[in-house]
Amino acid sequence: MAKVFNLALVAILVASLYGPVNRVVTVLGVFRTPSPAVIADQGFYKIADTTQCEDLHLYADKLFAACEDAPQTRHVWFPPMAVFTQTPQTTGSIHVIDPKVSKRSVVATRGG
Amino acid sequence: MKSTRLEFENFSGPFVTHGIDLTRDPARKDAVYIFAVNHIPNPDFYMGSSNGEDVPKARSQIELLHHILGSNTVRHVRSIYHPLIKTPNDIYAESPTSFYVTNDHFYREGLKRQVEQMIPAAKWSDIVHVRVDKLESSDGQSGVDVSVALTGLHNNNGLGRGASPDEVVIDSALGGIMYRAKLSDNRTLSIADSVKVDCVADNPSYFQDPYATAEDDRSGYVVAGISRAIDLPRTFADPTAKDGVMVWLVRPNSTEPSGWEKRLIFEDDGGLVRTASAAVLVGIEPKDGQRKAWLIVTGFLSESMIAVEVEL
Repeated sequence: MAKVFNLALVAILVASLYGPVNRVVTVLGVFRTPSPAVIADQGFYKIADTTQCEDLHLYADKLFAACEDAPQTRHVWFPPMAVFTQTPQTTGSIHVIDPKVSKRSVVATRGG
Repeated sequence: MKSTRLEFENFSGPFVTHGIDLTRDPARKDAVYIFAVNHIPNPDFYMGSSNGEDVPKARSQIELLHHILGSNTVRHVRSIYHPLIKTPNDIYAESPTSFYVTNDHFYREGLKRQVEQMIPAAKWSDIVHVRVDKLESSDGQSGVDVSVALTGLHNNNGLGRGASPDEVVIDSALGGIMYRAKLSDNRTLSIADSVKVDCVADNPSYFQDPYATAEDDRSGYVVAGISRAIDLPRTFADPTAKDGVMVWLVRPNSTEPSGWEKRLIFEDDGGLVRTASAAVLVGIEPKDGQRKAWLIVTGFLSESMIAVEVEL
């Protein structure tokens, strides 16, 4: 009888936790294999001088971003990821990007 | 597409970048104020002025900047810091003297922070409303009034403008949830509804379809995130690692069981763009019945922003 009761408790526990645990596993991508983007004939650009821009806003038909500029800083100092290895030696900046495209061009496929 | 780096007129840093927002200059139509998070080292910790154990290593603050549209410079107006601005991530600007900012964690580091991250019930992050009594000040603490606007979300992270002037969009990063909230007159936010995506959700944006018709409106919310956030603690310090990205376009749709239509409009394994913390859609004029837009994606570890044509 005790055994059946214990089994029932385990079953209830598993049933209760399955949803939340499955959700965490999905959000964190534990079992996910990321797929590489395939750039076929659609337009594609890598925008130069936009290193590690965490945020991006469209304002007055232009894109505004705050960029780290020097890539090495982020890997040794970024409090939002609790990384405090070395205090920052460089200064980021605000960038303005014009999203207008004067002519369509395919810049590269993978590796370009 | 071309990027112009704005030169600071009167600021030499340090400037460790994160979220930003813009608001119009009421005195000049051709100018804008920019609020930007700056994660500077804490002088109290690094100058050794007190017991290091209780003093945080970073004293993150907000920089208020002013930019004349079309110019190549930006002027530093003032810094803003306050004890309730602890782990700032993103900003929603109301005016040049008021804004909302997310504190993405309660704990800054250590085991308690790891618990906070892993347990969805650890809803300890908050959003605060900040007001400054004057624009110009050489003292970052001067005239700064902060009150708590919203609590009870797990790891609230990105903020964005919504479909209407009173709508604020909030992303819970580790929850993978986008919330729509309403502004109120008493400096608080109230949650209206939410939608789940299948990855961490960083900064949201709203795409207002410029070519919408009564029968065909492709407007929606853009949510950028990372495919395998589980890897980030290991890959973050490695400049050569890849972190994949996923970008979603979500729209309210009452015919869907969840009330939302969700579409993955872009994904990559990190080869083209490493991490996606923000993405914006810019509409392309319809041609031959095709509805397309430029999707601009950027990340806190990306070498470059990318722009890719996507179907809406």
